[in-house]
Amino acid sequence: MEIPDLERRVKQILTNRLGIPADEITLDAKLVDELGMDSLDAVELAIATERQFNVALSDEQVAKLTTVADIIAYVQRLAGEQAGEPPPDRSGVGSPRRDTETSGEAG
Amino acid sequence: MTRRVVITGLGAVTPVGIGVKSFWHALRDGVPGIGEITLFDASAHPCRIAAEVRGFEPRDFMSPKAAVTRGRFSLFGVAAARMAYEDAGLASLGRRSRVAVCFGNSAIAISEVQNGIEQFSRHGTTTVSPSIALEAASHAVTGHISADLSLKGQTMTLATACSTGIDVVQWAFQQIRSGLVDGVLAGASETPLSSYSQATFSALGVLSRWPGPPAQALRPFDAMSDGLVLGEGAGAFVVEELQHARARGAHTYAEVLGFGSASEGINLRTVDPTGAALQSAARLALRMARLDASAIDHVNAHGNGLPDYDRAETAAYRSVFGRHAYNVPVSSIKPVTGQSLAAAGALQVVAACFTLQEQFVPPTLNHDLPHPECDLDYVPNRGRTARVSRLLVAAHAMGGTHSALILGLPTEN
Repeated sequence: MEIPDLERRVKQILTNRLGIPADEITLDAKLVDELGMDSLDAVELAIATERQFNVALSDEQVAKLTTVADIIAYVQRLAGEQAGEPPPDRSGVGSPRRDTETSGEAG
Repeated sequence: MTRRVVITGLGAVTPVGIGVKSFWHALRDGVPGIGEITLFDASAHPCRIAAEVRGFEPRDFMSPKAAVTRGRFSLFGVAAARMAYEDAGLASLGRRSRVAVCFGNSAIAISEVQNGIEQFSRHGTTTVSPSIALEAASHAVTGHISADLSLKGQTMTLATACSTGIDVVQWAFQQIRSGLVDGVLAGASETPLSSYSQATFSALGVLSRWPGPPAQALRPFDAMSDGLVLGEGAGAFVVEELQHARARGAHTYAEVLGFGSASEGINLRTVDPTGAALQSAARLALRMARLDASAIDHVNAHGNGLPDYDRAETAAYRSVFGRHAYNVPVSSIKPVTGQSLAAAGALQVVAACFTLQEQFVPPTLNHDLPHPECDLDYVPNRGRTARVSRLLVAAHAMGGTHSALILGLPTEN
């Protein structure tokens, strides 16, 4: 299930919370390092995303996403799962970084 | 040696301009600040007017993220505080831990809270914004000012309703006089305009139902007055020890000479018709300043257009000043600012500083037909030049608190 206008709507959520104009938000922008997202922003983004797209995601999940594209892909994947579609390939963007993966990188 | 206390920086966010110069020019020229409410749908309310701040761009004063996440009262407060901070040249200070922040407000982030409660009622706990827990609190504005300006001394938040803007000067004065700090970035901000608060103030019976043009609705000391009109805004000032200011070469707007505060002790709404509490506050201020009442050249009055408040305030001045009361120009700036609760007193202090600097008393707009019991010189509708060496600023909180502040022209020695 394709969510209409997903990229624009996700960027608008980020604009509303972070105060950055949507046309200055690129898909590969790093949420923490470049857009300045903190833990409170993650909670607010999770709530706004849930309300906007009717998908259930936690702030812990949002906090594990790295880029704007990750949010878009993740929302798309959740919407698909809720609609009963098979999950897409999880090796690319949109996969939340899992603790095990983080540990693996660190190791 | 007694530490003298002066005001060295000013800031203002008002319905008639952003910044102290545009605010003062509007006061001087008698520009009214009240109009139709645009911040919410007021069509069902008996009072559909207010003094709203327009043309305010928070990004001029803080980061883009702060501009979209903070409560409106914090936006105004931070902006006014930054103006005062820059005006006083505080950025050049080395010992920033010797500067405290004391800010006040009365209605917190009432509009944001109302929106949050409406969301909560519709969607339940899962969509509750966590930010409101931080941003709605009365001390949020104080904390944001401290953080944005890296002022790491004590922070204090006061809430004495309409007296707050004067009481923050009192707190600053005491801290500086006692040697605990060298300066205080003080002020008050207020954004009480929401459909819920408008309804509550209306139910209380204090809002004007003036049928004519909104700009004429708030009528201090006038026989046709029927109530107040809410407003929003912020006023800020740097209060500091005189030698501390001189060492930096800072411009001095005024010296803080004395203050007093007293309470009705009756209930939250009633005012004694003789203005007994204001009399006490003004006499305390005069005693602290070691001045006779005849030394006061001007009063920047509370004058909020509530008939019983205006009459009691006038009675208090007659009692405190005696025959001199009829020689003292008494101005109310409420038709310009609206009744912006805590911020109102702070904006009176800003206006009083300009009165001393410019030797000009602002007009009381909409004072056309004096109430029979209001028989003083209220500077009706046109401001004028006047010799003002010392003046009294007065505020009366719904809740019973009256505060009075005496400011003087700074002297060389």
